[in-house]
Amino acid sequence: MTVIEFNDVTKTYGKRIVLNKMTFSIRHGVLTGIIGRNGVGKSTVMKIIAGHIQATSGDIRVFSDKPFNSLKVSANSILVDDTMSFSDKLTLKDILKEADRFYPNWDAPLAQRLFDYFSFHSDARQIDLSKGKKSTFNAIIGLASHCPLTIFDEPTTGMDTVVRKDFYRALLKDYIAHPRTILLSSHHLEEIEDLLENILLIHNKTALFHGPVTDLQEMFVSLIGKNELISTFIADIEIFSSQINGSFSEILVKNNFTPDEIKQLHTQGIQLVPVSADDAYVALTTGTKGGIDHVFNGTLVN
Amino acid sequence: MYLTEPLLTDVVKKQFLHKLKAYTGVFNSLLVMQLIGIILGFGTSSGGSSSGGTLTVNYSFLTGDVPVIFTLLWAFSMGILVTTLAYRNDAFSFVSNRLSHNISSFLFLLFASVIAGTLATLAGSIIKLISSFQSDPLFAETSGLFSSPADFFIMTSTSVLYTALFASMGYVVGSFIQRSKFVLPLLIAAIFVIPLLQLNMRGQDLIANSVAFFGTETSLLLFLLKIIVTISILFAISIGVTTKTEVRK
Repeated sequence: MTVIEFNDVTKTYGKRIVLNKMTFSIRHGVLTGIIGRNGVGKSTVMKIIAGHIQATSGDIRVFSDKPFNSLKVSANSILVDDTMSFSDKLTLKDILKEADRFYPNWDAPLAQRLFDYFSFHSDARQIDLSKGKKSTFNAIIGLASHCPLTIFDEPTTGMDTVVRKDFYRALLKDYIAHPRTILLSSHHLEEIEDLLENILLIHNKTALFHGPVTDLQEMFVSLIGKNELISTFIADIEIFSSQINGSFSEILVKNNFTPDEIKQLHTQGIQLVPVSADDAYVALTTGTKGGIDHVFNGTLVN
Repeated sequence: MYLTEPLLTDVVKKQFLHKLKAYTGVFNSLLVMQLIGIILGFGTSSGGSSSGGTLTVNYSFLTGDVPVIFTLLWAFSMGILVTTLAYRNDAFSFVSNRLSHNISSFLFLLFASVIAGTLATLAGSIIKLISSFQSDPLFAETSGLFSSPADFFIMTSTSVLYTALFASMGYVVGSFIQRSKFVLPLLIAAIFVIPLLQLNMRGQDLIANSVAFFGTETSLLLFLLKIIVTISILFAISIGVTTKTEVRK
């Protein structure tokens, strides 16, 4: 079952185009990471899905409804981000009670346990919380609501390392116990790549890549070998990043070698090493500029 | 995981109850406004004395209207307040769409108007009561709850209906302000310019006509009808203006 469908969706703010004819669809029950550089429109996509903002053109379906002004979408989805605010007349405890009334799948025991674990004070107000605490509190609401579509936009903003790790672990455990469609965005792909099943990579105003994390990783490969071996090799190949460590070089290239070529590389003493999703993502979104090292070596390729 | 098929009425009910808890701040400001109204109310009595032969009559007019006027100002500003960004974002942290948010906000305003309008009449009674202790009257003519319950009921109803009218006007103004930044300066300009224009409608002043439309109505039922129709129109305009508003941007 398809939960989210984007068809030629365009969003402009004045003359600035944020999303340009974006098309993708997300199946039910998949944990998808929405990844992209700063300001590519990750939040815009999420807000359009939640029905908070309206696309300029194109067709959007969430649970086969147009999300903007849809009560069905609002009742079955929750968007956790830094604009999630609550009246200063309500204490944290009141807010949990209110969430219980609004969300039919609300898991009150889980909310209470997380609330206690992260040592919140019942009488505190959400606006008085620190940035990290506020993010944590909002994340608790997002988790405990058990909405069929749960959207986290940069949920770990301001959280310290320990809380961040706890949150991702809580998210994974809760997702396994209550499978549902989850969207998660983060600037730090390396933090969440073990958690994700699929990645939706937004770049240049559109969906550059959408698929399993492993597919993204397999698009690239890292070659490690002696400097002189690598430098003869790189003459006619597109390099996405390179690093020189002593007498060894490591370069990141597209993974389109034939088995014969791989055999040949091995005999030459060049190792093929799989790359992390994060490295692949950086390679995809930065192009062949050669990385920051080249800025200092004066060998920047434009 | 099953999908919920929410009914508009259910969501509105939940939101209304939520707003009763979340918007309690408006009643604090009501209290302050009415206290100011009571204090200023003492200063507005007028009177005099007339004497004929050996008889001297001292009389003074007292009005309980000052708290009502302050309540109307309060209602207008509350109408604007609940349309503001912070209130809208709060609403959309839970289940909501623009229509349900509008209806529940409006129901809240009506609820607040009933309380505020009733309290305003009672505040007027406080002025009369305290003044009567001060001036030692022989005869007093006032429509109190016990002396003439029917009059008191009409007084309270009128006060409630006017409060609701002003809250609705605030709401529609607030909705326009949220729609565009240019509305506020235009509005302020309009407040000063429109009275100068002497807008004529069939030979009569438009503003004077509007005031007379409500002010000269002697039947409570007809007055109620006029208010309901006006409020409904204002509400429909507010919904129309805000149906495309983007939230939590």
